[in-house]
Amino acid sequence: MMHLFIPVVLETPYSGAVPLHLRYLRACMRDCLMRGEAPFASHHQYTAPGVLRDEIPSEREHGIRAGFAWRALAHKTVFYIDYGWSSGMLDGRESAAQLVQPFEVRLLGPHWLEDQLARESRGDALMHWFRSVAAP
Amino acid sequence: MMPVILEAPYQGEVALHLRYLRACMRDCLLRNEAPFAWAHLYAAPGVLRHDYIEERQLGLQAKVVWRQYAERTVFYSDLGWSDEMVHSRNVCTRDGWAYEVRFLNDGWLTAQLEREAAGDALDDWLHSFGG
Repeated sequence: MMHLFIPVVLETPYSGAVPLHLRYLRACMRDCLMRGEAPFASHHQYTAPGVLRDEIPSEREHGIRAGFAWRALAHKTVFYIDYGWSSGMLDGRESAAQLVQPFEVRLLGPHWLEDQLARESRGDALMHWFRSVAAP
Repeated sequence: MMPVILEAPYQGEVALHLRYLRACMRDCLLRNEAPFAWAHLYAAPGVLRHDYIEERQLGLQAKVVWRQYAERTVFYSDLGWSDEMVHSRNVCTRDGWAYEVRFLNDGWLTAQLEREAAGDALDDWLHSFGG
């Protein structure tokens, strides 16, 4: 069966508790997909090891500009705020407002981590992704 | 920056392919392109299970939505052509979407490992997979 997905930009926190925020981001991506949305999350691509260094301002800025190229094409931006609003998310809300683009604010709820860990344990991906950042 | 769909192999040697995909993302970004690498989003742990055909199909259909907005699709083929890449190239040809075939070079893995070691992300990403 063919699903008709809506393209959305997904905004969640990244800096700070990065490993937790990455897991949260993955749970949010799944939540979007289950709602019939195709999420674009620049911080799950461009901040990955060996892509762009988020700690180097010029590289971080380059990633933000790349994310903006897709934001302008999305139907809306969705913000997940169980961990509050990061400065990057506030910038994203400002960008969406400038584009007169709709946005939506969401919560996953208190059990998201438990659910995410259960999903991780059911698939094969965890081992492969772990190895992709471990010493070869 | 120019939005592009990035296609590279995923299945098979997944860990190596993910490292290759990250090197390809960087290559795109240095060309002033904004890559959309669907496998790096939807195949991540706890998102969609790539080894379940129904969930893999969901991810592929979600990618298709973005293709219509991309300027082109770029195929990186140092590690060959997966079935999904071949299918995607056929769709590009059939539907008139622009595409380009690229290679990194023989030293891509060494360069990727050096970049990984030079950045702060490696430990954080490792811990996000339970390491």
